[in-house]
Amino acid sequence: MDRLGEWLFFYLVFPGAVFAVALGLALSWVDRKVTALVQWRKGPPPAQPFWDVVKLLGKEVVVPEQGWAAGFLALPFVALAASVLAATLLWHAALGLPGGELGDLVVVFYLLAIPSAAVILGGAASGSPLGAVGASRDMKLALAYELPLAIALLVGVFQRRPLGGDEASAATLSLAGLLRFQELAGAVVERPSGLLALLVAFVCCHAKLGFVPFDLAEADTEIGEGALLEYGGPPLAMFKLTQAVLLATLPVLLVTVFWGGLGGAPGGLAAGAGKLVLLLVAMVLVKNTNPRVRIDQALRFFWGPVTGVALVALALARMGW
Amino acid sequence: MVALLLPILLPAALGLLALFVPGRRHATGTALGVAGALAQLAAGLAALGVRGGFARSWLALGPLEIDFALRNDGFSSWAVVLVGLLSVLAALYSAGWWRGRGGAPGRHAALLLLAAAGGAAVLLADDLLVLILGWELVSLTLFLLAVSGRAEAGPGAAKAYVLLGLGDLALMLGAVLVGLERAAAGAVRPWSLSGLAEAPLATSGAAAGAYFLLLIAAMAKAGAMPLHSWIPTMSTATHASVMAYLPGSLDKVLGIYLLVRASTAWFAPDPTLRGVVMWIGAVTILCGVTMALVQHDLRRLLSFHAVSQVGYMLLGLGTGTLVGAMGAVFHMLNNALYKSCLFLGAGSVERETGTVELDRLGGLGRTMPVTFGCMLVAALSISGVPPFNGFASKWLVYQGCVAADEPLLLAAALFGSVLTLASFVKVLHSVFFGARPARLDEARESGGAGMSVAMVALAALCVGLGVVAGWPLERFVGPAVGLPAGGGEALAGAPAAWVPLHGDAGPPPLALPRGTYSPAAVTGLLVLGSLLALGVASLGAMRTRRRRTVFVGGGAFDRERHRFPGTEFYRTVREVPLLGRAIALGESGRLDPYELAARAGAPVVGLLRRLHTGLLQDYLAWGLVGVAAVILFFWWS
Repeated sequence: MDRLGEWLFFYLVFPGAVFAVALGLALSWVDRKVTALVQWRKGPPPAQPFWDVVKLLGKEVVVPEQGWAAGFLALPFVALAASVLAATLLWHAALGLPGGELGDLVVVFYLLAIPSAAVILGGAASGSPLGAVGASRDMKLALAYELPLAIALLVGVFQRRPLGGDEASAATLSLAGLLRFQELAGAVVERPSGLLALLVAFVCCHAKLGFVPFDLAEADTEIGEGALLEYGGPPLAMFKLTQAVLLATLPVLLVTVFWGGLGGAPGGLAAGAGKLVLLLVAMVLVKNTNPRVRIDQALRFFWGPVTGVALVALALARMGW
Repeated sequence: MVALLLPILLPAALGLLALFVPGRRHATGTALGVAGALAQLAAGLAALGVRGGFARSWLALGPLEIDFALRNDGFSSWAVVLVGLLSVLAALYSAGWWRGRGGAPGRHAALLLLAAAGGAAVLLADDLLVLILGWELVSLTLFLLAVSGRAEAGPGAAKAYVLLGLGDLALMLGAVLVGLERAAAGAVRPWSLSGLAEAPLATSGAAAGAYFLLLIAAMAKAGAMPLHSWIPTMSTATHASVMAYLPGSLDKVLGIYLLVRASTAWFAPDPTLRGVVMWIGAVTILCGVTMALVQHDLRRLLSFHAVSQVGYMLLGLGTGTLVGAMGAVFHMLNNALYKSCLFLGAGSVERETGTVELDRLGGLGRTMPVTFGCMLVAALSISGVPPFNGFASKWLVYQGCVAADEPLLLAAALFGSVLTLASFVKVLHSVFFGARPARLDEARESGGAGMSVAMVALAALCVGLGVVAGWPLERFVGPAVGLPAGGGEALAGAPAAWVPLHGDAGPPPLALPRGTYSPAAVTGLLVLGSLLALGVASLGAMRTRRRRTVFVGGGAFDRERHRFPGTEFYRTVREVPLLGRAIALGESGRLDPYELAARAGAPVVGLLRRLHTGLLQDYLAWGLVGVAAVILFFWWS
């Protein structure tokens, strides 16, 4: 029962719902501010993302007559719950909090796929053909980046390192296990294979967040937000919050698998925060200096060079590099 | 221990009875079908607690003895219950399906029951020859059921019978090799399976051949690549309940049962053979699901998924670890549930709309809510979305891949399940979302209640076994692979589950925590989180809803003109250079062993055809030549 109470706190307060949402909104402000600065604008005040969500919560809900109303309305809430759970598991492990684990890397991988699936099904359920176009692009984009992402994450699991006069790999999917291994043998990213894998995973997470140049699923100038076209009011607010939570979660995934987590190690939490900021700034810069690609270009890019690099990284990791 | 005979004899007897029910006596035929299936389920449940065997002396070949032997252990008993349950649901569904339709439900029910009896015989057999008899009975009924589908069913049924026959032949040859090995070792009953399990054969020399032949038999039955092609071909003209019951579930159960037994109890496969099994598994996962992704016909699409899912079972089993093997067995159980549900749902859609062409369907979510809900659950299960059952079993397979140190195969398995999700997004969009063509406005779920009961029961099991995955693992799956207690602990990363199936467990190099998955907690938090978010939103304006039609390009929505059919979803995938060519190659049939054999055998068949002149004197002459050859043979010897 103790564990239950503990996990309810983790999930609902810290590092789950309250924390992840607050941090996510703050980070999305950073994103908007940096974007504005790059474009020589002033940018919004810090609380703007929060007020945006509050305002959406007060708007009425418009349900399309075509399509599947129940799913259209329910899916945004499931998306938020899943992203918060993924955030909880990742932050929990990265900070080394007590209470055991509820799920490992595979569980997190799948939980992180639920928000995309919810957007896709929600777009398809709206009954709008443009929503369906957006859903199909979103799904193809997910197909594109999940392959290299899976391979890159496995570099962290299977990388061979010298350890106690012998060669060993973490050979566990447990997040705590992966961090413990990096404590013993050094961060995955210290080796060439780890660096390549981090690069690949970074690009994939960029696409997972739907950032430019991979915003083709929402592409507001072409298909008017795509899968989100028919959404408004509270359900849209939920998707916006999901997006914010993912922004506060995906960098932690990278840091956990490749970069030794957030706590422990020299410098402790400050170093951890530094890693997160570095990844985030890199994302915002990539986002602001690239034009949107087409979906076929994205497919070829991810299944071609990106997967190739991921495979090279995996081969290097197996050779102990 | 006559109790062990009942799950075989009861359905067989009622099935034979149903065979003689005249076609017009619909109610009698379907009632017999349901009764036979219920009898099997009851007999299976009664046999659950029965341990031990049943044997009657059967044949004696010189010094060798063959018994009609059955026995029951931690695997057979619940597998029979599973088959019984699937039989009941298939019979109920068929009963609902035939309501207000022509045809011969009696014969249909009879053949399903005979297949059920054959399946139970395979699962309970303690002698390889009894197993072969049951195995053959299932193949035969499959052919008869397939051929009694629509008029164009013939070629598909023939293909199924040829490929399954090849598997059966491999099984028999494998049995011969096993018998020779065992007889050489001095066994009196060379085909006794419990005898075989007492001293598993190391896979060297002839025993490796025997294992490989059993592998081929299992692959053909379960539909692993490249022996899968009968499933998509026969799917287009066969009754939905047949697809759900045979290639969808029973054939998988039997094929994987054989392979699990062979890999865990009868043989100790060496790393090379295990590697072969794993690679076949991974290739089957990826190729099967890629082919499914580009299909336009719902039944063919589902049957390619039926192929793809077998890959996970082979992969898990090939890892040679307890956790991987548990994943394989659990996936077999889960696959039987969600795959049947999907095929039954497709049958229901076809019954009401007259088509399974994805292009011609759409917007049925509101008019066929039960079918939609059940197919949605089953689709999420097969895609391995937590917390549904498919995720739990795939999770175990992934852990097996880690234990076996196989990153590439693990990546293939992970990616396969993303592709599966993509494929079912297409299905859900094409069939249930999107714009409904006007001609489908009248489509309602008009079949009997049996159809809904069957689909809802399967969907409920998909959710239930996912949320309390520890229970089936503890009760059924663990014992099936020789872990009498503690199977449920595998989800918590217990070291007992990470040992190799054969050979010594080396000490783990590092004492790192293993992966864990708490299905109940994950489900609970997901549900709680969704409800809380809904609660927060309800404080705002969530309750003021307005229904409006969607607008497209500023104009009102026109459902005939503004359609984006699901078949358009993955057109881009074909444009990816190498992949597009691979798909085209797969579609051309140039990789299908059946087509290849047909092409290679064409000259021989042509020659035989030329000999068939249709003239009586020619046949008489051939007959005389034959008689002369026989006489000469005996004279010489």
